[in-house]
Amino acid sequence: MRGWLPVFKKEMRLYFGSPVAYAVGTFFLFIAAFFFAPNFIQYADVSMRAAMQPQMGQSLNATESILRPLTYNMAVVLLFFIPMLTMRLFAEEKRSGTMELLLTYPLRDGEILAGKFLAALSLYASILALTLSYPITVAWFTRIEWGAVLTGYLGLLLVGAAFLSIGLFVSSTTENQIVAGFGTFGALLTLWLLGWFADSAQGTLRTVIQQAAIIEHMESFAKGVLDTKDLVYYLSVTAFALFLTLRSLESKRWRG
Amino acid sequence: MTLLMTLLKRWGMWGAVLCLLGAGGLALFASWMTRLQWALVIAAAVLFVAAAALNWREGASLLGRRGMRHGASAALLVLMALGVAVLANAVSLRYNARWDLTENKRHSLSPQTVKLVRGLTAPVEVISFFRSDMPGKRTAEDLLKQYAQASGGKFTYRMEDPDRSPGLARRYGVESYGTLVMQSGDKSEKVLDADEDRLTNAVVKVTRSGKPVIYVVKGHGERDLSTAERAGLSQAKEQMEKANYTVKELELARQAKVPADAAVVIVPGPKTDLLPPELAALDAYLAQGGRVLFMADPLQADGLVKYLAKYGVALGNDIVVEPSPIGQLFGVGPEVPIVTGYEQHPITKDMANVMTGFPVTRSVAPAKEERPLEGIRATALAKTSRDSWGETDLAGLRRGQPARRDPADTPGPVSVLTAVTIVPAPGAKTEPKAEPKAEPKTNGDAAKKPEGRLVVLGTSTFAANQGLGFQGNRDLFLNIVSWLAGQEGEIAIRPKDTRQNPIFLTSAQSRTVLWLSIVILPGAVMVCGIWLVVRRRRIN
Repeated sequence: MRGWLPVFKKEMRLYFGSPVAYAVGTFFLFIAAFFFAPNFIQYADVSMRAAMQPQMGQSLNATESILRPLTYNMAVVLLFFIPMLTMRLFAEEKRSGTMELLLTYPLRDGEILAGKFLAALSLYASILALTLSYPITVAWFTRIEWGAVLTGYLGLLLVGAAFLSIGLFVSSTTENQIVAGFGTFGALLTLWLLGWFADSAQGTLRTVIQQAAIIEHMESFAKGVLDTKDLVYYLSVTAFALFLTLRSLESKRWRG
Repeated sequence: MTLLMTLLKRWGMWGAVLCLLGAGGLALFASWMTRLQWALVIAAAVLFVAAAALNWREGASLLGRRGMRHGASAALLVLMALGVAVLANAVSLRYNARWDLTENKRHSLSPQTVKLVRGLTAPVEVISFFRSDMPGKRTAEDLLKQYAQASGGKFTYRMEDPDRSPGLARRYGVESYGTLVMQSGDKSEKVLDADEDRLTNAVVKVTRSGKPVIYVVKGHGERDLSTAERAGLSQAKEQMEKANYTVKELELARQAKVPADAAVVIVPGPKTDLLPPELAALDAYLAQGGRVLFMADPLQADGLVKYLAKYGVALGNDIVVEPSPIGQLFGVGPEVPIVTGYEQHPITKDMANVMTGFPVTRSVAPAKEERPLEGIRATALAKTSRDSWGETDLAGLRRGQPARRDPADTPGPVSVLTAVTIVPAPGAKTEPKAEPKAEPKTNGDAAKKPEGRLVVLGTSTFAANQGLGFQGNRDLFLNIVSWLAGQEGEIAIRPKDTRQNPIFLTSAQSRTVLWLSIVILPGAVMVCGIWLVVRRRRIN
């Protein structure tokens, strides 16, 4: 199973050698900053007011008021960014005809998939690492709860992995990048909007919809709670989408 | 027979799919796997096998084709993988573990609650009435979910929108959004703010077996429980019964002892003095952690003044007069002082901004002893306004002279409601001792004996039918009773203090943060990208 490494390297070279990674990174950080900076400054304002009027008795917890909404909002923003990272992965190969070439290499489908998936995940993780500057900024001024930051980032990593694998699958079914991008976006949006319908359902149906909705599971991660059911959800979605991709790749061989 | 075979051959597969869909649909709405669902699953399996057997030849030739074979096996694999994923999620939903990594575990239930909920023997159901878009809804549901998870099936809840099901809301008497109705058996309890403290205590209330008994003393011209006239206590009785208490009369002179099952004893405005054996019975009761509510009307039963002084309560020989205009707004005269502010106490916890009226009351204040009595702590809970005073010229009032403030009177604000806790010292009698001692701690031996509680009101009209309906009087009365009965919060759960960590920024600092996050960080990434592209162009 060493075959994934050359694919991984090639993908990484493609990502960092083209403006794609930088453009996605720039926009993601720019938008994330708008979820962070105004909130941060408003928090400082509230702190100042509370200090002058102690009877206000506000609970001022920086982790709760700044980082929790930030984490959750970043997960929502991913809905729009992940499709840009994945749309090219297989669709482009198919369009340019390199897919046949790739499939004739002495590589197993699993290795090709692993290489591409890990490359996309690494790129995403490195963009995510840059956003660590936000908790560090907050920690510079006050004490924050690193446990909650840890679960938040674990959640973001997991939700990213799930999104990426869905994107990979959609990309493997088409040779048009735009179709792949919009398809991924549509699929993710559907899984996100499911959560909205949960509110109008009752009983078991409500539980089922809630468990199926993709952003719903970010809530506990964002507030600092690690729950096995959220872990299982993201891991199973990732695994299932990767499995689908594998079947889709395999079908190329026998469909001809 | 042949017809059946043909039907099976033709439609068997579809029948199997329909059966499976039916079973799945039922599983969504009914509880998991009832007998009917099993029957459907088995029927699906039988239909599938039969149809497969009958279609064998065609199927085999179809499968013989390469694409079909691969496609079918791929579809089967995908279905299996989907099944595994769904199963994993279903299992994880039921058997999940949870770690709260916040420093004060603020997203987890306290150990007391978990212990209580885990030990539930009767089912508890909560219906919570939230508008769909209410901000508190999610927090409440989050909390209820944790209760349900900790209980192992005994605690259930559902969320209702009072606007969408107004009939249901009316049935449970829900008047405001965000109300939770908790039920267990024939008991129910309304919770207005979904926090852990209130919810847990509501669980205690609805699951407690038996109702606490409240005894109301008679025999000295007290107000009567069964009288529905203005002067009677019938409404107070009704309210207490609604709040899950049993209310009984008590002829203390005959029994010479407070019954063992008494949760609270009420002395509602005696007109003549209680006899020494009766007072001794109350003493003994209080010493064992008893709970007594005295309503001592002015000009009557003067023996109580001396008696209550023992418990650190100064009963004034006066009538509180309040000429302020607020009372006149409600059509009550200066003999009904209005109270709008309360001291911090479990009784007055929810009374902020709620007015109460104390008709014809004398002043009741903690005694100004030079040396504190051991184990006794008296707190003034309600005070009238600054403009009021305690009129001591009672003879003049009787003659019909208008009340006038003079130096002999008690100056306002006047305390009209006092609560006392009596912590029995280990091995000692509760008789007040002369030596001053530090306040006994609530741990050690003393904690094993329940503390005695005493509430003294300067008027009994407050709880009578004519006074109970006034503004917040009913709530305050029930709060007093539930504090005395020890039900105001049996389980005290410390609110999870979110740690205060304010941030103070100079304007330079806040500008730096803005620039760094919005411009510099994304900008740096962009510059890297541009530099890379430019370099590539040059190389090419």
